[in-house]
Amino acid sequence: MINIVAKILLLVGSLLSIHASWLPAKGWLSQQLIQYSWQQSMANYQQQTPQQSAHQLRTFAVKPWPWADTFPIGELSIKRLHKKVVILNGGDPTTLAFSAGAVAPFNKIHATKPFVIAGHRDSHFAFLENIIMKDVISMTDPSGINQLYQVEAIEIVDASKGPLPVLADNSNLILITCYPFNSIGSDTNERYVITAKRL
Amino acid sequence: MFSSNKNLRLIDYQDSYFYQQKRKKRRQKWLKVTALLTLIIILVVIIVPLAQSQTLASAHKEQPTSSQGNGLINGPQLQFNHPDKSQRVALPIDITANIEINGLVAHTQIKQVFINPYDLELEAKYQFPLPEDAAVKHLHVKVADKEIVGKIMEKKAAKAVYQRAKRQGKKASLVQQQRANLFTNNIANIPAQSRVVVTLTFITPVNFFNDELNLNLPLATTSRYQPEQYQPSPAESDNNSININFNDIDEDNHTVFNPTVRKVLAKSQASINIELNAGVAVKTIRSSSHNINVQALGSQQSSYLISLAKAKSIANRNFNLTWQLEPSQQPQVSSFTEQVADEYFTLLTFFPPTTDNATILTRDVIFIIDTSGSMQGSSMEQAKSSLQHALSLLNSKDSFNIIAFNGSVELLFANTKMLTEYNINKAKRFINSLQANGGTEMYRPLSQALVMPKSDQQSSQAIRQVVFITDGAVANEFELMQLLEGAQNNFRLFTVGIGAAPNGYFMKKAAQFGRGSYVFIQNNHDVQTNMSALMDKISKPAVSNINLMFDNQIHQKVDIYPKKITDLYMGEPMQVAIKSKFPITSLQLSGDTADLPWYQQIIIDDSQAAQGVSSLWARNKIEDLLDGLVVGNDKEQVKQEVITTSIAHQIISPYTSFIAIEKPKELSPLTAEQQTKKFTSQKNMLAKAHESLMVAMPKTALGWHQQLIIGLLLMLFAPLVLRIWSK
Repeated sequence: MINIVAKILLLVGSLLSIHASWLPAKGWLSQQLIQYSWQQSMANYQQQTPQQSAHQLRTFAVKPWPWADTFPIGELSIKRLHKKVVILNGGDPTTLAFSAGAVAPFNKIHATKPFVIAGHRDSHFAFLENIIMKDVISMTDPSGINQLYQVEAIEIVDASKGPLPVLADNSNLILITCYPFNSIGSDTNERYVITAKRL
Repeated sequence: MFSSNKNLRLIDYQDSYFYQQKRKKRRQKWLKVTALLTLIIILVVIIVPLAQSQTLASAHKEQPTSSQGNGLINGPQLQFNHPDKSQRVALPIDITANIEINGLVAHTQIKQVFINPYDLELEAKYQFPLPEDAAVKHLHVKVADKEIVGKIMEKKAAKAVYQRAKRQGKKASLVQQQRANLFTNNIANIPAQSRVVVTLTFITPVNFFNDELNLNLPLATTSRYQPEQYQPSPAESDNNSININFNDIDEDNHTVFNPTVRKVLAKSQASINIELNAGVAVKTIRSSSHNINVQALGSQQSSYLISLAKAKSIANRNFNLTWQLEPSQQPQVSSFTEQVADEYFTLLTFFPPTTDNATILTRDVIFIIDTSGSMQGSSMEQAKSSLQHALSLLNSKDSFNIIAFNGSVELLFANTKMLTEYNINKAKRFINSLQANGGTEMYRPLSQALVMPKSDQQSSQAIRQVVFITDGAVANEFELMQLLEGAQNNFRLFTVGIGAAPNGYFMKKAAQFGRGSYVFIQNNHDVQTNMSALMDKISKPAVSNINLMFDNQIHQKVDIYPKKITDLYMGEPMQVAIKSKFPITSLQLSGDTADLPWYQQIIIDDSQAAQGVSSLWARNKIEDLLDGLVVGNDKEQVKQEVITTSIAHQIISPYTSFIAIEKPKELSPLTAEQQTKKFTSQKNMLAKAHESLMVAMPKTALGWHQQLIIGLLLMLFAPLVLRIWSK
């Protein structure tokens, strides 16, 4: 009897642990696939005639796996931290499980519109904690063009108080992740919002 | 027997030395295993964050100050552009707010006091919040013994004037709107060791919600990092030429003052004094944010003096005041008027009569449910269950239909059908069969809903309500707004934002242009309750198609904002700002209630004079103009109109700033010069929608740490259980 209880505990415990480690492992694994599809997308895109504009990105984009409902739209890198993340399209939970995602309708790199990216604080966006003011963030779009941003504000906002207001007419890059970083559990109301100005 | 030997051993004397040793060994083994597992868990819990903070610390090495400032800054923090960067610290600003509330208009005067502690004449900059609906109308700055008064000017011209004044060594102040509720102030040439008092005056309408009146004052404070940026002084950015290249200014910011400053010397303090003149007897006064002292003025129970219990509170959270009027005392209409030159501005608030529940408007409800791929998972489940719930709240007089869409559109019925058991069951099966995948093509379902024929049995009086359940992940909002704007005004659109990342801007604006309201759901588990609240609200419509009519002979030209008046539901007041040539003494409201046309003559016999109503009117107008961008008004024209309104009424807007200069006389030639310059540069610089868009914040934590720890704990628990029970 006791033995069985102990065995069940052991089993449940190990299953939970495996499931828990599966989450970051999945994030890491998918990153590899996404990285590959990103390279493919870039290559595809650059073969196109220049007349075809960015909104046709969807047609050239290579899905990381055949049944994926998202595609890579850019690569974010921070030189100082030696971090690189491929950004997917969409801010829904399914996308965020695989990589950081650009939240609609701010999912286009545009000279006059903000660009908003959300990511998990305990996987792809864990490094946001180390970002400091004046850090330079580089965003690469599929055509290979680099856009630099500089961090100008870091805020902690309460997400339960409604959506985050962003100015429509400036081309800031906004990174969102959960806060606090090292807390246990997934239900926090606070969000860590980094605003970077286009350089 | 084979086992005879073994049996013999098993019934060995239990207290023998051998067994004692064996048990001891076993105990030690268990201890070791437990200790090891505990160690692993401790390692996971402690070392991981520790390791992270170590990398953080090393990353900060080149910074003069530590990362301690990562915490929440309290109150607006001020910085001076001291040439020695290590000397730069964030300084506190003390805030005194004097608020005078007259009925539904709040007049706030905020005093921001700070000193320049250095031995040099310096420039200072700080960021501060104000309420989103504030009409900021006055800026007064006292630097040392010099007093300067602010003036509204076009944003870029103001910047140029400021920088020129700064170069010339004049005292100047520039207040700019960063976001709807966030402002910055730059003050140039503050003499050494001197005191600066910045006084800002703004008007806000009092919010009315659920029978309660509500006033919020952000105290600049909660968990917000201040961008450590300065406007570069012209001397630094632009040495030899008088013409300032505007576009360079922002870029230069980054290079001029480099390392960030995180030394916080002291926390900003705030004190608040409120004079509340409710006009009628007040039932309760409370503040959910601070402890307050309430002192009655006079015996009428309508005037009170309110102050913070702690005279100087640390400005680390927003102030909130809520008061409730005696139910019998609640006025049906309240009017506040201000006369400016030969024009009258009126803020009119009308509380609709509480209708009987018996007279419920018959409705023709169309639910549009988004089944696109982004709704997958819990969003879809919540959307489905709230749709089921909404159906159960309809009554037999209502007709309904359901449109499901992703890349394609799926209709439950070809036109709306009366609510019968048969139809309900059919709808339930339809809802259950919905699955989320595919794209988000909103235009078609929306346009179909707008033109869908009504059920033959439904009366022509039935009001069409479109309940749009979606996460709003669309790119063609503009097109959709135009569709709503262009459609006939015989429908109401209610948007329900569901999912981890709904497009809040779409929800809000679509509801506005569809003359309805919106529910925005942040947490997935809120969906059920919020949906019920919305359905309850819209199933008891009070008055629709509201029109304001004035005596045409007297009032030939009245200017009312907002232009479109939303339906008045239970407990919601209607508030409009009116500009007219003559005081408004009466008006007629017409609209439709459940079955009858509704008409009400309002006689305003008790119009109270209130300063600032014109500012509120102008603020409403600016908001309305900015909305015009959505329906495709000419951007340049909108910008010009906003600037004109803003300057005429001296209130701040996204296109204009407050500028205060020591000698205001010199402003005019320079502005003229800037004006011409502005027009040439405007060609390639189109005005953009200056509205503050809303972006939803998705849930961004996997929570695998928690799971891992629980898992490990369980595994640790297993041997412990075994150990304890076997004793």
